[in-house]
Order: sequence, then structure tokens, then C-alpha cells
Amino acid sequence: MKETINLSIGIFNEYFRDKIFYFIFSLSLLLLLSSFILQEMVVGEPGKVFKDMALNGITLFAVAVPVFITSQMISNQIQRKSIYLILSFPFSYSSIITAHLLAALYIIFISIVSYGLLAFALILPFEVWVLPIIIHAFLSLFLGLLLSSWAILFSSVTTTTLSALSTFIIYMVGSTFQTALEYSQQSGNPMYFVLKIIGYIVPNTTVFDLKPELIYRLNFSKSILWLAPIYSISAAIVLIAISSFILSRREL
Amino acid sequence: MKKLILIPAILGIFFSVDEFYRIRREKPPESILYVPKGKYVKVMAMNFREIVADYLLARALVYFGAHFYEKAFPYKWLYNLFDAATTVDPFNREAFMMGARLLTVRDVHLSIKLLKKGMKYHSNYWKFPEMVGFIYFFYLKDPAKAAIWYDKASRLPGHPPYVPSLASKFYTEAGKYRAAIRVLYNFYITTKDKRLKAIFKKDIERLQKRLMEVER
Amino acid sequence: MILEIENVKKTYKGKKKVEALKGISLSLKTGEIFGFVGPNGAGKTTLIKIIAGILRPDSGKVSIMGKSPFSPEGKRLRGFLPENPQTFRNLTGREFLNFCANVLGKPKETDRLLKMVGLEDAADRKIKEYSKGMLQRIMLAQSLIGDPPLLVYDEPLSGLDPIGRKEVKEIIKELKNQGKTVFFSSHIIEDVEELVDRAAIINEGRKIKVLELGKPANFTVRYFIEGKLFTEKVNREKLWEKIFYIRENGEIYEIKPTEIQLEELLNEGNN
Repeated sequence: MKETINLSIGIFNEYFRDKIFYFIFSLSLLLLLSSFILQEMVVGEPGKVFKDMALNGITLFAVAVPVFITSQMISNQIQRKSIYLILSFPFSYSSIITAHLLAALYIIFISIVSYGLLAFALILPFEVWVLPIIIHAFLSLFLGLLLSSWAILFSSVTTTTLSALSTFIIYMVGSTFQTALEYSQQSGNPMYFVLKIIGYIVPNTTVFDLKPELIYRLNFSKSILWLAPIYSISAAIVLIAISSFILSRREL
Repeated sequence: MKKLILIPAILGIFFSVDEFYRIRREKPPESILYVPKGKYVKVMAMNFREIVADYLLARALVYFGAHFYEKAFPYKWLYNLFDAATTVDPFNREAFMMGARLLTVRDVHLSIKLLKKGMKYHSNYWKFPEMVGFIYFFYLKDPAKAAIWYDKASRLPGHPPYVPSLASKFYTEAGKYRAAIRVLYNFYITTKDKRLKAIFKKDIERLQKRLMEVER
Repeated sequence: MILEIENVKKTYKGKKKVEALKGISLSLKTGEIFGFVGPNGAGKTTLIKIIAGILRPDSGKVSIMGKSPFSPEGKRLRGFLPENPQTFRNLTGREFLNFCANVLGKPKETDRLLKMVGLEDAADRKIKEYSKGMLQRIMLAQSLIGDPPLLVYDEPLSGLDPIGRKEVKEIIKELKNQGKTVFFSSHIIEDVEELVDRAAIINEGRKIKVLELGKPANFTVRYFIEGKLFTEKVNREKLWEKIFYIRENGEIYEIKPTEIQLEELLNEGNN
């Protein structure tokens, strides 16, 4: 395990210095700073724009890092043939995949924490808004883990571009899944049962999104706070197993 | 060993997804995604102000209609939406009229505020002061103020005969007979319709008698 | 034997099946430099990947000091340098070697390795700024982490300029002096001739021949008998017999090894 963590730290160092990461971080900072302009430009409760941008920025990391960084980790290495070095290390395929996933998770964690602190500082003049940021950051971390697991799977199978696109599609499907489920239930459509079954495979990313509850101070089921991590980690384990199997069968 | 981890992982997925299906989430209150301030939208709309204003109007209408059957819905952002739409395109009279009518469900003073804004751009349009007068009479039960606004409307071109007639009626209710007579007289001397002249002459004479009785 | 390869076969199952290895058997003695020569597409890289534990053969057996090359123990016994190596470009040379040492759980000998490959001055530059030769050398350094007894290199001199080639050759010679076993592939015959003790010729997935290049197989003997100069090609087994004969009957003028016949063998294999 220690060596897997060491491998993940090396991979993290490589991708943390990548231009794409700086681009995502700059974009999120721009988003946060645009709160000042947007707050002036719109009518609404003071500080609400900052809260929206704070939480949406955190979500941005949880989605953008898997789509643009994690999805290219394995596929890029295969294309550039730098994967041979890693494969030559005394690791199992599952350890290699786990190390890449951990590296992605470090990137997401550091980004979310830095961004969260900045956001907290910006909202402070309006109110002390700590717990919602922490809760959303916590859930976003696991959303990032889930999406990164899918990204790694796609990355093990296909090219960089296709794996990025596939990861994004999975996120889009996951975001609309809950709506489709509710509509089919309300309309009594038999698709409801089909969708329920699909829900065990396709990730329902809306469970990680408590933004309306946190911003509008609505009640929410606290069980989400432990169910979401269980779901995310369980899905990650299964996806790691599938990715390892696929990678081991590829003739690189 | 590693394969054994898969079994609890798969069970974990099934368990958590089942629980997700059971969880019911509270619907957030009205969340209108950023009602823009009109002055900024006006600049950004460039040469497409009319269509942007139409879009904002459509949003306002959808917002109104979506919650129409909800009891005592606060319509927090309704004025802002109409304000934004009329700032972007202040030459759309219907936007002011529509907004004023719908805002009566929220707060009639906001209706008046919107109509007063409209009057800055449409100083010759009689319907705006007429509507203000109507609001004062019907919602605020203030015939004195209603009379003033109907009087203003009666001095603008294109108004129908009932405007000075109502102005006179409200002045009479408020006890201001001279003002009531003046309004009717202004219409009497300007109209070319003989039938209306005859009707208004009778009303003027009736009021003059009433005035003499009151002053005695 | 440090490396044993028994009847290894490998077929790539793509749209068109390609039989890359058709039953290769080899063995390496400890401390020797073994060259693996063949034209492009002969199966050199396939075999190297199998030895490195990256690609599984369809059949046959490979063992490194009795361990499977796919096991963690087997992987720790060998250092690997892939063809046209690429690695983490955003790390510096020093960081990269430290990372490899951490991953392998080995002590960090970064300074010694950097000095050995001549990259002390470039140690703190990012690998993406390295030239091809420098990249090759840093990857050579990484193959030496943990002091593995067997070094497996795929085309280590490929794409290098003459200075780069000279530097890498010096490193390989130094490794031999340290008692390492080096197995490397190449399609450049001159490099193999210069460096190896033995060489295997491979073509179309088959081993053609294994030669002991350190010991010449044939000699050209020039001698005088009764004032006449004779020139004769003699193989190693018959050489001493010839020498004794000449000394009894005449005078030896010159004995030298015949020019290495690798190229001939390669062409023979092609035919």
C-alpha cells in the first residue's frame, strides 16, 4: 500500500503541474471573482450570488478534473508509451489504477480546499457561512471520486478525447437521471422500472448536489452524508476492478 | 483477497442506490436564476433590446403563471422582472400595462411605481394615469387620489369620454365640486360630439346647482 | 543462468493476426552483455516486453533467477528501459529518480546515479526540457535503482546522435564492469558488435543463431613456408593445431580474427 501511495504522489506531482489544471483553477477563480460583478448586476439577496458561485465553483472542480485530467491519465500514457515505465514497476494492475485514482483525488481535494477557503473569505462580509461550504465540499469530493473512477475506466479503454467526452456524458446523464426518474414515476410510465434498474449502473450525480438545500436552508436527510461516500467508494472499487481487468488484457 | 472486496462493494452500490430512491427532498422555494438589473442588460443587449426585453417579459409571465394556483405566493421577483424588461425597452407600453395589472396580486404600490416609470417615457399616453387612478379607487379606496389621476388622464389626447366622467365622479365623492365641474367643462369645450356635449352640459349644470347648495 | 527463456510464443490478435514470436529459447549467463539483433518487426520488442513483465506470452516460460517476470519479485530483479522512453515530463530529473526509488521502496541513490549518467547539472531541470540523449540517460539511471542484477534495454541507442551513443555505450560498458547482466536489443549491428559478449539473431519471430562475439569464431592466418606467403581461414577449434603445424614447418606472419559475420548472418536470416 505504501508503494501505491508513493506512486500516486508521483502521478499527482506530474498532473498538478499540468497546464490544464492551471486553466481549470484560473477559470474557477474567474467564476468567484465574477461574483462581484454579478452581485452588482442582478437583483437579489445580498451575498446570494457569492454563495452560488462558491458552491458551483466547488462542483466545477469535482467535474472538470475528472473530465479534463483524470480521463487522460491512462490513455495519454498509452499514447505516449510512458505507461511502460509504470507497468514495469512491481505493481498489480489494480494498484496502478488505484494510484492514478488517488492522484486525481488529491488534485480534487487540494483544489476544493483552496477554493473553499477563498469562497469563505468572500462571503464573510455578508455572513459566516462555513458549514454549507464544508458539506458541499465533502460531497463534491466523493462526486469527484465517482466521476474519476468512470474517467479512469474510459481512459483504460479508449483515446484521450473519447474518454473525456464519455466522462462528461456520464456526468450529464447522472445529472438528468433523477428528473427522468421523477417524471416517469409521476406519469406512471413503465420506463420508471427500467430507469430504476439502470440507476444501479449509471451514477446519479444529483445525490451529491445539496446546493438548493444549503443555499435556501432547507431540511435534508442527513443519511445522504454517509450514503454518498459509501456509494462513491463502492462504485470506485467496482470500476477499478473493471479497469484493471481491461488494462491487463490490452496488448500494449 | 482483492476479489473478495468486490462483493461488499457491489452490495454497497445496491444498498446506497436503494436508499437514494427512498429519500425525499424538499423542493426549494422560488428560485429565479438571477433577475438582472435592467441598466446592465440594456447595455449588453446592444441592438437587440426589443428581443431581450421580450424574453424578460416572457420570463415574467411564466414566473407569474407557474405559481398562480399556489396560495399566497409571494412573487418576490415579479416587479424586478418587469422593471428589467421595461428598462431594456421602455418604449413597449404593453409591458408597463401588463406588469401593472399582474403586480396587483403582489403589491399595488409596485403597480403604481411601474406606471409612474412608464409615464416618464410616455407622457402623452392616457392609459397610464388612468390605470393609476383605477388602482387608487378600486384597491386603495381613495377617491380623492383617484380623481387627481383621472383628471391627469383626461388632459391627455385620445382618452375616451368615461375618463373625465369618472374624474368628475371621484371629485364629487371627495367633495371637490369645482374641480369636478372644471374637468367636465374642459371636455365639453374640446369635444366636437354634439351628443356628448349635451350630456356633459347637463352634468355641469347639475354640479353647479349642487355647488351652489353646498356654498349656501 | 540469470535469465531463461523457453519456447516463448506470442501472437497479436488484432484485425490481422501477427505471429510475433514463434518459439524463442535463450538463456543468459550472469555478468554478460547479450545483444538481440534483428530487422524491424522481427519480434525484438515483443520479447523484451515479455521479459520486462509487460506483455504475457501465449505459451512458453520466462524466468529471472527462477522468478516469473510478472511477479513483483521478478520485476525487482530487473531494470527496464523501453524503446523511445517517455515519462513524467513535469518532474525534474532528481524528482523523477526519487519518485522511482520511493515507488520501488529502495534507498535513494539519486546523486550517484545522476553522476553515473552525467546529468548532475540537469538534475533540477524538468524532464520535458531534456534532449533525447538526456532523456535516454535519465531513464537508464532509473533502470539502475535498487541495483537489479539484470538490465533489459530496448534499443538503448536508437535515435541518439554520435555523442549520445558514445555516452550510452560507455555507461553500458561500465555496467558490465560492475558485474551487471545486460540484455539489449538493437537493429544497429555495429553497436552490438562493439558491446556484447554474445548476440542472438532474430528474424520473423525466430531465433536464427546465437554467436559468441567476444571470442571470434574464425581467424585469418598468414604464414610463410619455404619463402611463400599463405593465407588461410581457420576456425577456432582448429587454430592451435594450425599454429603448431606452421611453427614446425615455417613461420607465422599474422593471425587475426576474421571480420564479424553478423551482417552476413542477418542477411542469411532475411533470406
